[in-house]
Amino acid sequence: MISYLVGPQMLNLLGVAILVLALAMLGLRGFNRSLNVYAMHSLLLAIVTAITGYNVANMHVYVAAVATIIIKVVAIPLIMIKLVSTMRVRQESRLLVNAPTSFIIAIGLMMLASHMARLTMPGQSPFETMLTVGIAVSMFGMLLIVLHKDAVIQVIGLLTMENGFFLVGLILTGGMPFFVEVGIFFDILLTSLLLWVYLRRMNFELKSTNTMHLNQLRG
Amino acid sequence: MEFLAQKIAIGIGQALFVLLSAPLFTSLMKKVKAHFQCRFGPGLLQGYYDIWKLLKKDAVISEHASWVFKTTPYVVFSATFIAAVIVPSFAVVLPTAGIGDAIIVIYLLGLARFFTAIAGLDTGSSFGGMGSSREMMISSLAEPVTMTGLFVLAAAAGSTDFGGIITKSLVTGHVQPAYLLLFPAFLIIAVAETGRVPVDNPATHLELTMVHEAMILEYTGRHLALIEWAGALKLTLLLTIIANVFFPWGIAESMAWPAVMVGIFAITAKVGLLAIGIAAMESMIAKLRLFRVPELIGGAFVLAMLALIIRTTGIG
Amino acid sequence: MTEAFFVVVLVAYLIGTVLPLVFYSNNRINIPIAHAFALIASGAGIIASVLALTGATAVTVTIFPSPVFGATSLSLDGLSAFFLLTISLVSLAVSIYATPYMVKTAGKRSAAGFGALYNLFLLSLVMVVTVDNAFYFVVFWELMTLTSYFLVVFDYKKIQTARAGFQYLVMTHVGTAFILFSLIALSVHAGGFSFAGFKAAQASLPMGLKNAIFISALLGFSTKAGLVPLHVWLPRAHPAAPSHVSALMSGVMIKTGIYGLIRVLFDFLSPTPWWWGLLILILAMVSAILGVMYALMEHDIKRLLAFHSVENVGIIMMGVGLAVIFSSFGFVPAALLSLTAALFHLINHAIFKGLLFLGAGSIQYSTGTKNIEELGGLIKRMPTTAALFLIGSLAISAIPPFNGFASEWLTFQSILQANLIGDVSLQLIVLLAVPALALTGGLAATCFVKAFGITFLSLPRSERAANAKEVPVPMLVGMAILGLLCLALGVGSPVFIPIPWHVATSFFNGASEMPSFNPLLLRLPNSQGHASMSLLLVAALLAVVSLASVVLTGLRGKRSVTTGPTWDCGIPEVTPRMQYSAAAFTRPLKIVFSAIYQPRRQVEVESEASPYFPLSISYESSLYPVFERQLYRRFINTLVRMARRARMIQAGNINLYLAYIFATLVILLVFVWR
Repeated sequence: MISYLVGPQMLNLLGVAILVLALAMLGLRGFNRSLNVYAMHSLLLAIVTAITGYNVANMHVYVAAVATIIIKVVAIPLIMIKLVSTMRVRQESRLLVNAPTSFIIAIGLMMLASHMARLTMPGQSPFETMLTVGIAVSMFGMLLIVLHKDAVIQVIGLLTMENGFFLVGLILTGGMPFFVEVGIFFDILLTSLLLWVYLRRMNFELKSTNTMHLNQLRG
Repeated sequence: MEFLAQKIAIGIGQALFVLLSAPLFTSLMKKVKAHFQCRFGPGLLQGYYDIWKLLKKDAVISEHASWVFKTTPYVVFSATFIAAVIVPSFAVVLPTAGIGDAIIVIYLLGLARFFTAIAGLDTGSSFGGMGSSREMMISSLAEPVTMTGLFVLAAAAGSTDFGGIITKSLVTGHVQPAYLLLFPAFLIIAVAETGRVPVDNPATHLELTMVHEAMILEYTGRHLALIEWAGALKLTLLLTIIANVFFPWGIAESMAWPAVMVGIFAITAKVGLLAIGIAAMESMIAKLRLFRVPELIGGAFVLAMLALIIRTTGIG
Repeated sequence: MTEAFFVVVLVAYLIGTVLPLVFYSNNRINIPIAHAFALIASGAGIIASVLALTGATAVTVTIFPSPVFGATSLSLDGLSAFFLLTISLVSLAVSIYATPYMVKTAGKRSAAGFGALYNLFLLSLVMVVTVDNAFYFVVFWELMTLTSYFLVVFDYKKIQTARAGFQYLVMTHVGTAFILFSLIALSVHAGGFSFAGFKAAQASLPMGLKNAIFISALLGFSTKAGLVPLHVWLPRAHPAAPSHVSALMSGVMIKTGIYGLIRVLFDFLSPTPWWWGLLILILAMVSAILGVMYALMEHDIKRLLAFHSVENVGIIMMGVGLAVIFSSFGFVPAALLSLTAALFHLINHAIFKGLLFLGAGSIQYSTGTKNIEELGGLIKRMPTTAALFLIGSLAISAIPPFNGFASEWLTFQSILQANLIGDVSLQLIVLLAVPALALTGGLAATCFVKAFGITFLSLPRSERAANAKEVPVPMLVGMAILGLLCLALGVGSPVFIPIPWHVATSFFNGASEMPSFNPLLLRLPNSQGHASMSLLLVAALLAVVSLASVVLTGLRGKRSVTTGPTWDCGIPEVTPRMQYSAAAFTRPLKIVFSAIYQPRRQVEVESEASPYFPLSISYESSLYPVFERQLYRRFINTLVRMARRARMIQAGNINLYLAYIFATLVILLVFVWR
């Protein structure tokens, strides 16, 4: 277990901010705004990574922080925004349930996450918070995928989920082995490129990224 | 004996202070909004002039209205006034706090709202009914947020008294995650409860988009004066709560005169700044569609619940 | 002294049961007689219960001894006396109210049987809450159910009434079966039927049996109390009965379920595990929210009130659930506070719900309809009823300075005690009661703005409403008593609360009397946070400030108050059809909570030439009855399917039936010889 000499209080605040941003994504419908929030979310994650790097005094955690900024804060939002800007049709997603209901579900998940975090690491100040946040964020990402009808938001959901997993991994191990980390970043980049192609194709064929159209593919 | 006299003096001072300062803040907000619209806007004393003018005017009452319509302004005014007196403004421990705690303040506002809503239905106008219907929807959704938020504060302080809550936030400092989350939640509630943009527009002249103004559409003369004054009191009251809970700086912790003077100055400045902030925000955003309002309040609810979870689990 | 009054209660009800039947054919005699004796009994009941509550020892009255089941003795300990007080307060007002109401409702039919049943029903209520023997408890419980069934189906020619009555009978009997199981299990364990024996044997109950007893008692008693999802009978049966009986059923009878649960939980099954309390709390939260939500969409005023009973039972049960949780962790003062809140809300609900049902009865009396969409403008035609209904509405919406607020305040304070609980996850779930309770309060206020505003204010929406007249004085007196009690129990809450507090102390060891008793200020004990409020001060200040503002705003100059038309955007005249209707009023919330309501609507527009000039528009909207369809319908379908399968053995052939008997005989013989 890593000992945090610097900024447990700071980490708690950051954790809460990460949580709030993930929740905000649940309530947003506009693509651009969601992507901006995602970029901010990743930026906070990068700061948490950097603080962890400082605490464990490990160079490759800093590298991970920089990689997070390059890939998740800049590259992915940029290509997605570019994609969205090529779409002419209504740039808003719809939810399966209304926003207050999804918020209530999110609160339930949040309580579950805090329960699970307490079972894993009871009463250890920054870890319990960050674990709660990590689990909650990955569940919110999943919720985003489940509840939204639009593929663009679903992709953002997937990326959010990954952010949550990254945070959990970071907190539990204090930075994974370098190759694993590089692999993960490569994966994320590749995945978003693949999804980018898929979205473009879908938008081209259907003039929309609403996944409800895919229902008709059933034989 | 001298102590008692001082207590009574402070109590009356608190009552007069909230009563007389309230119109100032609504005028201030109008002024700021005018500034954003590149107008000069009315002076800072316009709120007082308005009330004075309305008090002088004849009242016209709808022929369909009953005694409910005539009593409502007085009930609304007195309920809001008493609620405002309970909330500590310039000193932490006020003698008026003995009347009740935070819960009763919220429910006294509920009394005022109940009467405003039935008065809206009393005249038989469809605008009044529409206003009451919408106002009750918004407020019944806002109530859980307010109470959850208050409970986070009360659980921290171990008391539902405002005195205890403010003392607690004086002691612990302010950069706590739970408080940071509650601040926007309370701000949204204050905006929703006082009928300001983006929930409602106090300056609108189109009946179909009005909420609070539609309910009181039929009021004139001194009745309207009281309702307007009560509205200003409610705004001041909610902003005072926010100011003193989240920024308890400068509030008098003793009953010594210098401390009280500083307290009066501090609360005026804090509420004034909050009012300017809200007015600026109002000028920059558009009114939400009615059925988007629940989402806004839902967001506030999430923040309050998050604060509750964080506080309870001891994370923050 | 107390015994004497208690005997008067029993005797007066008995006479009231018999005497109306003597004057069977003359309604002018039998109706006043029935209610006069009920009135005497209620008065004596109030005195007896107050004496018992202030006296030190429990009072027991033995009626007749039975060698098998023990003596039928009725005893007034704290809890019983408290419930007797609740019953008697409501029945006092209802009995005054009932005479003119029954004269009109009965019409040419004889009301003698009804009067007799009315007294018998009240008698059974009193006996249920005072008897201290499980066997007789069940007997009186059944008596209560049956008499109330007959009271519900008074209007038996209406098909809805008959069906509602039948559903009520079936549901409560299923409930009784569960109660029977738990009481039999307790008596088998204790080796006798007396409650004292149950209490003595509780320490040696094995945990598994204890859980089984709890679950079945919860199922049984919450059917009576109307807790979700066992509430479905309540909104049908209560409105079907004549209004003063609805007042008794909603105000008092459903409380016997809570009585039974408190008795079993705290007297027979303590110490209780915490998860029982959590289960009760969750059911209570769901009940409170769903009850008020369905009430909101209801435009039949009595059904609306019946759904509010579901809500308020939820609020009461929150207190009970919290008390169980706190007591299981050994937080005695917190448990005491929660149970006090529950008991206080219980009596408050009895009072304001009684008032509101009597008000609904008055509306029905003078307009002949319960549908608020046909009403309006009644405040000018029935001013006193309107004022009293407004008091009831304010009280049930938890608005200060009325009694509903006082008990909700206490409930909020007991939720705040969740701070004590060590387990954080449990504490979080308990704290969910805060938004639940607040949402309930907000929606209840909305609902009663609708109920009061649409019914009493603005213009009448139908001929019936336009021709309404104020009800006779006795009916107003009956309501006024309850209205005054609403204010008195709110303003005087610090004086009254020591009574339920004292009742609650009997269940917890090491409980203390309520400290720092102050008639002006409702203050919590210091160990539980320092919160205080004074509804008396609030009420006084409200009066003073209102009067002062009337005087001060009236001082300036010579201004007149003129009446003019309502603003109508230049249309010649405001008509009743332009007003907001109840359906329109609640539509925003219907849309917001559409996930729960699942509203269906049908609009049919009939037009001749152009769609812009419709001849007629019909609008029909309904809610999807989730519980009936998803829970009950499935259960019933399974039952029917099984019954069909069982029908195979019913061939109708006598030879076959004889063969069954023969086969049974053979099997039995084999079984015996084995």
